[in-house]
Amino acid sequence: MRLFLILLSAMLVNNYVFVRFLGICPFLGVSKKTSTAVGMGIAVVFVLTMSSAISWALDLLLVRLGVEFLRTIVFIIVIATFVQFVEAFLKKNNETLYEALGIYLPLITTNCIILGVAIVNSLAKYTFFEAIFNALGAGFGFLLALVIFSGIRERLELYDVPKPFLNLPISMITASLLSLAFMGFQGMIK
Amino acid sequence: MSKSKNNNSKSEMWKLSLTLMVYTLIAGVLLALVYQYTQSRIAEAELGNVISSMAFLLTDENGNEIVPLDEVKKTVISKRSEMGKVLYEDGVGSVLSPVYEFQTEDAKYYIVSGFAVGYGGNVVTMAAFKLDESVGELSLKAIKVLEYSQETPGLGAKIAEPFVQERFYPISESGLKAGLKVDKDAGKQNLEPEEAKQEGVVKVSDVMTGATITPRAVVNSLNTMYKFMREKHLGGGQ
Amino acid sequence: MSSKLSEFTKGIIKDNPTYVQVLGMCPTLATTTSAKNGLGMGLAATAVLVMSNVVISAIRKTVPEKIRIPIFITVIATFVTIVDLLMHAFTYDLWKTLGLFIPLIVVNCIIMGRAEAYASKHGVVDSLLDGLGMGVGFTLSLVLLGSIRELFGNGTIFDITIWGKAFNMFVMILPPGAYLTLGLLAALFAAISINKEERAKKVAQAQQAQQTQQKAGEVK
Repeated sequence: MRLFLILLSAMLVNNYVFVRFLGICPFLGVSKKTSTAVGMGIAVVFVLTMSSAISWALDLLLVRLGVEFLRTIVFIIVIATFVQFVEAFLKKNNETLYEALGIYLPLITTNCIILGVAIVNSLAKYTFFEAIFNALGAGFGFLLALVIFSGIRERLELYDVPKPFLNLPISMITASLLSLAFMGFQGMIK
Repeated sequence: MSKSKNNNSKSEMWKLSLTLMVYTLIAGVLLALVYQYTQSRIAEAELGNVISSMAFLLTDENGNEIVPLDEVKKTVISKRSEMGKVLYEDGVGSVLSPVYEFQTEDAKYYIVSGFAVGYGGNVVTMAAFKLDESVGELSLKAIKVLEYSQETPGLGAKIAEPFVQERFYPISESGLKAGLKVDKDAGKQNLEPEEAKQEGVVKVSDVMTGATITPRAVVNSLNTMYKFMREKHLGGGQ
Repeated sequence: MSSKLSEFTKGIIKDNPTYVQVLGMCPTLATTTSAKNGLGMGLAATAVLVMSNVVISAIRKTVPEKIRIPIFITVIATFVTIVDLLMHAFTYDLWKTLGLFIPLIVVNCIIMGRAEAYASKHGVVDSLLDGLGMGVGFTLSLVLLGSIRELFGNGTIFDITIWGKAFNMFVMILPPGAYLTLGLLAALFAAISINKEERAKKVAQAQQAQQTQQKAGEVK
C-alpha cells in the first residue's frame, strides 16, 4: 500500500515537474510534438528507474565506506554511462526513435529529474522497492506532464500568440496554469 | 588488416578508459582533501544548529534565557557522542538520543528530539518539556521543527514558519495525556488556537490548508516523546 | 580591452542564460521563493561555473575528444561537491534552505553548456570572464525573480518589509507563481529586445531612404 502511495505521490501530488521543478529543460524543447514527447517520456521512465536502482545499490556501498561526499560524482557518472548505453541500444534497434529524439537523448543525462530522484531516494532513506516506485512515479509524472504540455502546444501553434510571448513565455504561463491545476491533487493523500 | 585495426581500437579504448580513470582519481583525491578540511567545521555547524535551537526553546515569554547559553553549549558538547540513536519507537513516531536535562530554580526542563514520517520523509522536531516539580506536572513548553526538507515547498514546508509552530505550544499535561491531535483529525476545526491547545488540539487548518500530513507528523512525534518521557524516562508517575 | 569586457557583459543581457538562452530552468524556479535564496543559489552556481570553466579551459588541449563529456562532468561534479561541503560548513542555514538544489548544480545546463560551447574552445582568461559574466547574469535573473515572488507573496524583499501583508498573493511563492513570474519576465525581456530590433530597423530604413534621396538629388 505504501509503495502505491509513494508512486501516486511522486506522479500526481508531488509531481516532479509542476511541484518539485525538476525535469524542465527538456520539457520546453521536446514538447512541440506529442509523438516525440511520448518517446522522450518513456525513455526518461526507463533511464530513471534503472539508474535509480543502480544508484541505490551504490549508495549503500558509499555509506558503508563512509564516503557519502562522493555521492554526487558517483551518481552522475552512473547516469551518464547508462544514457550512453541507451543511446547505443536505440541507434541499433530503433533508429526512428533515435533520430526523432536527436540531441535530446544525450541531454537526458543533464535532466535534473534523473539525478534529483536518485538523491531524493538517498535522502529519504527509501528501501529498494520504495526507491523504484518513487522513480516510476516520477517518470510517469514527467511523461504525463510532457504529453499534456505538448498537446496544448500543438494547439497553440494554430493561434496568434503576441510576439513577445512566443516560445518561452507562453510555455511558462501554460505551465503555470497546469501547475495550478495539479495543486488540486494536494489533499488527495490523507 | 582488420586484425591490426581491431587491436588499434582496443588499445585506444584502454587508453581512453585509463585517462578517464586518472581524472576521476584526481577528482576523488581532491574531494577527500576538501572533506577532511571541512569535516570538523561541518560537525560544529550541525552542533551549532542544535545549540541555537535549544537556546530558542529555553527562553521565557520575555525573551530571557531560562538556562545560560554556556550551560546549554557544555551539555550538548558533552553528550555529542550519544546523538542520533533511536531511543524509543512506538510505531507512530520515534525518539532520538540524547535527552537533555536542565535544572532551574522552579522547574526541570527536558529537551527531547523525535521524528515521525511526513510526506516525503521524516519530520524531526525538538521539544522542550517542563516538569513543575511542586505539582509534578509535565507540560509541553515549546517546539522547533528541525527537519522538513522533504515536505512540499509552500505547503507542508510552511511548518517551518514560527507562527505555525506556535500553534503547537504551550500545552498542559491534561492536553498531552489524551494524545495531541491536529484539529482536522479531532473534528474540532472551529476552535480558536488557544482554546484548542487546552483540549490537546493543534489548530492548523487555517494556516496549513491542504497540508495535514506534515503537522500530523509533528503531532505524532510529540505524542511519542510525551509517552516516552512519562513511561520510560520519568519512570511511571501520574 | 573592450572585447574582454564584452566577454563578461554578454552574459548579463544579450545572452542572458535564463531569459534568452533558456538554460538552468530547474533551480531558477525552485530556489527563487525569496530574493536571498535566489542570490545564494546564483552565487553558488557562479562559483562552480567559473571554477569549472577555468579548469576545463586549462585542460582542453589534453582531453581526448571522445571522452570529453564524461571528463567535463567529473570536473563539474567535483567542484559542485566542494561547494556543497564548504556551504555545509560555513553557510549552514543557506545550505539547509537550498538543500537538494546544490548537488543539482551539476546538471545545470548552463555549466555544461558553457563548458562545451566556450571553455573547451577558448583560453583560460576568456573562459573565466565568460563564466563570470554568465554567472552574474544568472544570479541577477534569480535575484530579480526571487524579489518579485517574495514581494508579492510576502511583502518583503531580502526580508525588508516593503508593504507587509497588504497585497498578499501567496500563490506567488507556490509553483504556479514561479512559472507565471518567469513567463511574464521572459515576455518582458523579449518585448524589450523586439522593440530594440524594430527601432534599429527603422533607423536603418530611414538612413537608406535618406541615401536614396541624396543619390536622386545628385543625379538631378
